[in-house]
Amino acid sequence: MDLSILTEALASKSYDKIAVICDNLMLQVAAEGTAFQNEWPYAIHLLGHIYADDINSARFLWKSIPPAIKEVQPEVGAAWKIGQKLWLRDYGGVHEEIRGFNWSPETQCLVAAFSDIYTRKMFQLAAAAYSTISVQDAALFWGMNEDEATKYALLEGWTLDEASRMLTVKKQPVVAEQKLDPGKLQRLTEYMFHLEH
Amino acid sequence: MDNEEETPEQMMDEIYANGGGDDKRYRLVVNGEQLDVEAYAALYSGRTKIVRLLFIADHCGNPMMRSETLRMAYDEIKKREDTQLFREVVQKIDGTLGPAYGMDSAWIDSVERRAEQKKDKLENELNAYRTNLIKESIRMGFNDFGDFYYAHGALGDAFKSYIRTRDYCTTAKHIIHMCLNAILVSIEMGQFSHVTSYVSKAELTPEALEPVTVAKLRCAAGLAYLEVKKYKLAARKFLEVGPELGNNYTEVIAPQDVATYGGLCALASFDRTELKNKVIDNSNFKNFLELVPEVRELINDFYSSHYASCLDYLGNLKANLLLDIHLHDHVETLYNEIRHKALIQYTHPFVSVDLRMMANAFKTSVAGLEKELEALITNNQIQARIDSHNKILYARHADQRNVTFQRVLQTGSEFDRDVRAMLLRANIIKYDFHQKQSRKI
Amino acid sequence: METAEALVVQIQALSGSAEDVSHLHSCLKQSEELLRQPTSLAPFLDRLDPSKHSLGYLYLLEAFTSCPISKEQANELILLIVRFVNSCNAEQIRLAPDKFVSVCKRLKDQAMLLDAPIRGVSAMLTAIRKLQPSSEHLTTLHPDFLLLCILAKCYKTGLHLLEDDIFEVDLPRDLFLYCYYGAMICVGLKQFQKSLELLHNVVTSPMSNLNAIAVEAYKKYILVSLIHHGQFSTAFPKYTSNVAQRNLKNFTQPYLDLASSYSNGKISELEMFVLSNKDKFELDNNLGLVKQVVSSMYKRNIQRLTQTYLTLSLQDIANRVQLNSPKEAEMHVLKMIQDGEIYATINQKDGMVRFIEDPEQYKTCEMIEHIDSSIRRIMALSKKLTAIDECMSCDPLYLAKIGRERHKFDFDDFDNVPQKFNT
Repeated sequence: MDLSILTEALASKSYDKIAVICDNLMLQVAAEGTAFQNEWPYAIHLLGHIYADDINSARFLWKSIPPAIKEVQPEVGAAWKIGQKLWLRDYGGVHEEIRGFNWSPETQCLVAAFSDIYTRKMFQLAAAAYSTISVQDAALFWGMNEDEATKYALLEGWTLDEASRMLTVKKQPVVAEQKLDPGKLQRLTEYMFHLEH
Repeated sequence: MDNEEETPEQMMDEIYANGGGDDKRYRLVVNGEQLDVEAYAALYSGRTKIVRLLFIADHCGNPMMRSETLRMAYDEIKKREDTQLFREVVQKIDGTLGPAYGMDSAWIDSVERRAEQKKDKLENELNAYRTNLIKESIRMGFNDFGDFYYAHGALGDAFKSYIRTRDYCTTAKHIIHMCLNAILVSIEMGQFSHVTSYVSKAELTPEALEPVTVAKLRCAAGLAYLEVKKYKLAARKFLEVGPELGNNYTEVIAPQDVATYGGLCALASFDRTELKNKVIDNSNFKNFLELVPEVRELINDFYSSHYASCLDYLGNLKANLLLDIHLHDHVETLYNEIRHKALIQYTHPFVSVDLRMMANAFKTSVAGLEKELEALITNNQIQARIDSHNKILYARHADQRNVTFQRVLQTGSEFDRDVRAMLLRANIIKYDFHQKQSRKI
Repeated sequence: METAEALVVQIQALSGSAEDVSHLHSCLKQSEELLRQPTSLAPFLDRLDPSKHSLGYLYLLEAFTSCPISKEQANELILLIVRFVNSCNAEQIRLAPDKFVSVCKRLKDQAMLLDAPIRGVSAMLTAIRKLQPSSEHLTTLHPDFLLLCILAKCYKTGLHLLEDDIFEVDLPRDLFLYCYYGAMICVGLKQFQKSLELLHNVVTSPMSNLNAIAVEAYKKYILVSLIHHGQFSTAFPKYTSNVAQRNLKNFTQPYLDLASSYSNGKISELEMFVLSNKDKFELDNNLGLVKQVVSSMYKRNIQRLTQTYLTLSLQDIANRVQLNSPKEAEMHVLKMIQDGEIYATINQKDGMVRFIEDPEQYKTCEMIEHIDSSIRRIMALSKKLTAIDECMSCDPLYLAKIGRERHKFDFDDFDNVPQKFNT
């Protein structure tokens, strides 16, 4: 079983490609008749889906893993636990599951990378969904203690009301490209032509 | 509170005025008085008088009133020849009014004996006319039969007899006569589709109709529309009824009813402009409204946005309106519509409305008002959203540009989906077709 | 034996030019009887190169695989077929599509027999690509591939195939199954819109007899409509077959009742209904979907509030949508904001939610690109429509039919396309 592409992707930190690489490799080795299950890097495969925010695929992969393997490879179960917490929108639980397992050297980087983007994503969610949020909840969402969370928020320009322990969110202006390139005009002309003929 | 109309101060004053309980307008409102059945019955004649009394007896839910009403109905029936109605009322009285109001078999026998004789006589006459082929006499003969059946409560036969005069009508007058008879019986039978068709038949006659006939036909048409819940059309018909109606159609409707039916239907279905032009500025209808001052007042209150007073009047009228044979089924709907209209009209000119003030004007709680507004917004009758935190209603102005983009994209994807689905269906049809073809060969 | 030997020689010689291959094809057809002999063809297969002698190899392989085999042999057989599918020449095998399909079905059967559906997935996809003249053609293998994906839990792989626009169908049954399995995959991946589209195709398809696929599809259609749109209309589009319009409702009563209970908007009533009809839904394997229907009602009710309110306290939201606490309401609102289902901001300090308008301004380059691509797509589609229309109006069979049965001809199936697109 040749997993070199996967190893390379992990080494070059192309974490967003892990899921696709694993999916394809798995189909390939299966077609060749290899009994791959025992050696398959299920934990990495699961984490690849989780990293790509594809919890559905992670869930189906989890369902396809033989029970015997789930038993002998606790890391597989630990990886799925993260997915499960995401599935249930247990925002704080995700951080707990990440911290709650002693990840192997192979998965460590991937988990850490996921943890980073997840924290960032949760920060953005809080910024979008809240106008005021308690320090306690912010800490829970971001997987930090209250001091860290406060510091993190203040750095982003939020303000803290000491008395109520509430953070007031600073909305970031959305910057989006609005320039039109001349090729579009050409295409519009073609549409008009199409409509008239 | 922001106001888009030109005279904000005036509008503000009026709305504030609504809140106060000591407003002078309130003195006009009398508490829901019990219906004066005798005065009510005096407005009607013929069969409808009795039927209306029986209806009140069945729906008033007040034993005293019921007894009184049944007594009046009994006395009234005794003056006529309808033994069926007589039996009905005696059954309803059920001996509660003493021996004087029991089953008078002697009376029934004599009425029925006379009826038999009269029927024989009418039959002989009609046969004679038919042998001699005298058109006018045959018409009269059938007409007499119609009158006879009507008097005895055989409505179906009466209707048939009146209709049969049709082939023997020689003048427009005859046709109108036939139509009016058919309409009268149909209303009694509750067959309002017949009413509509005979009204239009009468209106189609080439000769100019007498004003009183026009007025009667408008009333009948109005009733027919009311019955099928077409309140706007009903309102228009009642509003067109001319003063010639007077007390000439009491076997169907009283001029007071024209005011009530027309006024309520108009409030429930007209917009502000129509209400002003066709009701308030309608000098002809004003005469009718004078007969029912409460309805006149509540319409004026509605138009001048004195909703609290308007709702008071409506509340007081309700019990009596529920005893009206034609209005009974529609009171709830009309009242709801009027309330909705008032809520909508209240919010209309504003960019924002204070819900506490509005609740006051509509004599309800803020929470209750929120629920009502929620329903109206959900049905897209009010374009606004509720700031439940500050208890303010804000008008909502959709961004046309964004809405257009949204709709275009949606239409595009629907087209995409529909065309692909259609082509797949075409494939299946093609397959079936080829199968059939190859089987034939 | 000699003739089999001769056949192999012939195959080796005649697998070059198109002309040769076509000659070989007629020879192979004549030799079919011979290939039915229960002799071991395995040694002969070894002498052929599947990539060069694809047609011949296919004939031999098909004969070889049609014999009953043991479970032990199944493994070998799968490998043999997978290797052939991966290396065979597409033009050659398209000369004998039936044989190719039969071999691939054998692959599916064996993979399922070994309880290893994943072994067939990639080869089946390759087989589809080689068999179909273009990605617009539906093959008989499409449903088999989707079924393998479902069994192997490779939903995402299945979804890739569903992204093709299908315009050409040979057998109605292929389409029915393709749509049904496809819808199941889409449901699994929460692609409800696409799933509805596929189920809609099954339910409204022309049919003269009601089939079980349509009944099951209608059940799922009701459920997915409720999940995705929050409502279900019992009215069929007018192009739906009479059979379906008349009969589908009789077989799906609990589902229709569910929909009508849903429309009342009362979560407790809906839960009661589901509880008392649990067995029926479980029997149909739809209980999972039914549960999603129930939880979608919270979402629907909250969405309705956004249409009406500018601000609303979390407590009021909890009361109105029958949630236990303001915190629970907050979590529902947060989830919906995260999924882009509502636009709102939560104010924890005051315990209020402020609902806002969709911030999309239709000004960004990304949006313009999106609009542009849908315009292009629709233009291509309407061109296609014109072409098919022209093609059909020249079809002799069609012309003969409308000539003969003009009075019977029904335009219903075509009139939902606006006239202006039809120029």
